[in-house]
Amino acid sequence: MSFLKEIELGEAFEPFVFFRNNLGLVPNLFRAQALLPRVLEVEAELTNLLLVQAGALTATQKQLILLLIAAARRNTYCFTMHWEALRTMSVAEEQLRKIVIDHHDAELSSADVALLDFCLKLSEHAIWICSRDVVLLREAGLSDEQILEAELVASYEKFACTLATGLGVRPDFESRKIPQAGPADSFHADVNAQLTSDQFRPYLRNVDLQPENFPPFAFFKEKLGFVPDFFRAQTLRTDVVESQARALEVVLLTHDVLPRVKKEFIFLVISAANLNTYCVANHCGLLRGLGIPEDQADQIAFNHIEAGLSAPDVALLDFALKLTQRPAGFSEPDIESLREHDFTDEQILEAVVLSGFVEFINMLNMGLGVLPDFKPRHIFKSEHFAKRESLKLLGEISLQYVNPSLASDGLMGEDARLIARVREGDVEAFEGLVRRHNVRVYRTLIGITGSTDEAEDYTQNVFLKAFKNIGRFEGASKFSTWLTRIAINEGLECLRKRQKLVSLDDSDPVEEEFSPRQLRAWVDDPEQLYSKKEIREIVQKEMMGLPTKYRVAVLLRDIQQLSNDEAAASLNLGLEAFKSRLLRGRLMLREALAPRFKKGMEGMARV
Amino acid sequence: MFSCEEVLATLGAYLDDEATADVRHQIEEHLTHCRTCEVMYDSAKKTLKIVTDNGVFEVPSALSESLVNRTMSRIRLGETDHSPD
Repeated sequence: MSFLKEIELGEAFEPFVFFRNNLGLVPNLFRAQALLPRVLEVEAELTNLLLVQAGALTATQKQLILLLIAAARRNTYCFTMHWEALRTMSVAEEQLRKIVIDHHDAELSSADVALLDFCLKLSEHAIWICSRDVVLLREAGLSDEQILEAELVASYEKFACTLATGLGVRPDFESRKIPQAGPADSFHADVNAQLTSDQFRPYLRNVDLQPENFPPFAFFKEKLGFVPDFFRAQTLRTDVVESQARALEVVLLTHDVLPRVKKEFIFLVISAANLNTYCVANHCGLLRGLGIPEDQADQIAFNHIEAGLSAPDVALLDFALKLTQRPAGFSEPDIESLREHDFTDEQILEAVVLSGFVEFINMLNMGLGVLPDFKPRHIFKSEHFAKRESLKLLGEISLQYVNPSLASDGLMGEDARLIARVREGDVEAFEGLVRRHNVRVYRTLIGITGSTDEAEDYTQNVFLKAFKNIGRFEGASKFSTWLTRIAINEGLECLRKRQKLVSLDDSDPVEEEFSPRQLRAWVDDPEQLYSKKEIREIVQKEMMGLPTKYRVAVLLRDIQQLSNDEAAASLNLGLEAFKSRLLRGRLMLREALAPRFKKGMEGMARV
Repeated sequence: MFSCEEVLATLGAYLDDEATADVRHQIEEHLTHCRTCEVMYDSAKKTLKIVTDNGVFEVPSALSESLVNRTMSRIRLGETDHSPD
């Protein structure tokens, strides 16, 4: 019935009784989590508070929010469930279909339309949410209590969709096909409103409570060391805050199934993928408390694959990212891949539940507009959104998506921060970029031109060009790769002016006839023969004797220490083409250096 | 067993420690028998070490600082044209 092992908890298990009494059945979604009964208890509680008990919104409004988010997420399980619920509330199927296809054109009240617009934006384009959206809702007649409830219900749905996908549960009713089309792009992306919304955070009214008079706050203070503003921003619903405290305790703070640190890693990577500044900052902070240094936490958040984690840990984070970022591609083999790394079904279940919980927290957080409790090292902005979406389209989630944009030096790092400031008109921020990269650019240029004067001139040109074209840097590659590419072109331009060589693509007579000639063995420790300075001079001289295209390959890979991928990208070359050029260059250099380092040179060297 | 040509063709991956276990095995097997390839490989490996470890094309920090300053003063002046003659 689902991906994971199931056990019988008995129909008298309290959460099951609750579901049967209030929903008329125990949904498969919950039966599939029987391996962790404590999780079912908090889920039943949250379901009761948000969906069953009378609240600020009507039951129909809540179900419509749920239905539209399930439709936008293309989640058949949840969609079927809410469709059925709305039918039993006697909403006609024809009306439901109209609402799903376009809720603007379904004779809903203007308040309902505004509410659904808001929830869809929160679900699908959360990074664009700003204080203005909340103002619009208030103007449509909604109270802060209602807005908070809408955010909670919408976030609950994201949790449920993640569970349904991760557990692979079958619908409880005859499954409903989700109508195509829909109101996907009706949201308003207002950059200016976003920039100013910082002044109005958090967006909703809240009540001043203290750990002394509100036990959940005392709990946060004890367990986390502080009361996150995220919970202070929800004090219009103290019952829900209390329930979230329990959920946090059960899902995140326990150690007995998955270790706490691994769960924090999951929290971190999903939050980073969701571009959630608050949660990344806070969970980096929490990890610091668990003995994980900030740099390592950053590396995990932005590129967990190269963070030196064990293979099972990488697999776990791959799993969580795929489940949340590319649910359509998620299927049973993803569960199997964790089993192959010896994760138990309990652990896999906990990973799924936690992933859903992080989705809940991330989305709610974006809706509340809370500022981080810790100083964020990375601020995600709306311009990262398009980038993220385009990467998702490229396919494989963790490598393709996290790697290029989130590598430590990439879009989200120090470079990105500086670039964003420059783009906003802060010329001085460019100095940081020059400082970080001038050595690399200069080295590239001296390696190509062989002249210190020209390398100095052209280094400045490279940065002037980069400054002028900073708007065109798209973040598809690292900034350093982009700069290196400019530097190579400038270097070649310089050579062209000297009329030494036309381009890197020129085939070279040497290529055809290359074969090793220097076949005497080298001394055991060649670096003992000369001083470091002498070796430097020898290598520099011999490097300059190589044909440019081979010299550049060796320069990028062995002197600048770029990876093969980066070096190939800097040259706009395919990986294999680059590698063969590199080997040729290395062997040519070997040839040129051989007379200085071969056996028999021991006595001659210092003469 | 690999021929000398095959060793040369896979030497790049071997030097970068990216060769598959099978290729690595084949190369190592060949190197124990072929003096020429053994010298090639040994000296190529030493070349890489020499090139990476000795600060080739190093940039003195004073120069780096001066590059930053010269570049920034041109940018502050609003200079966007770049071709020196």
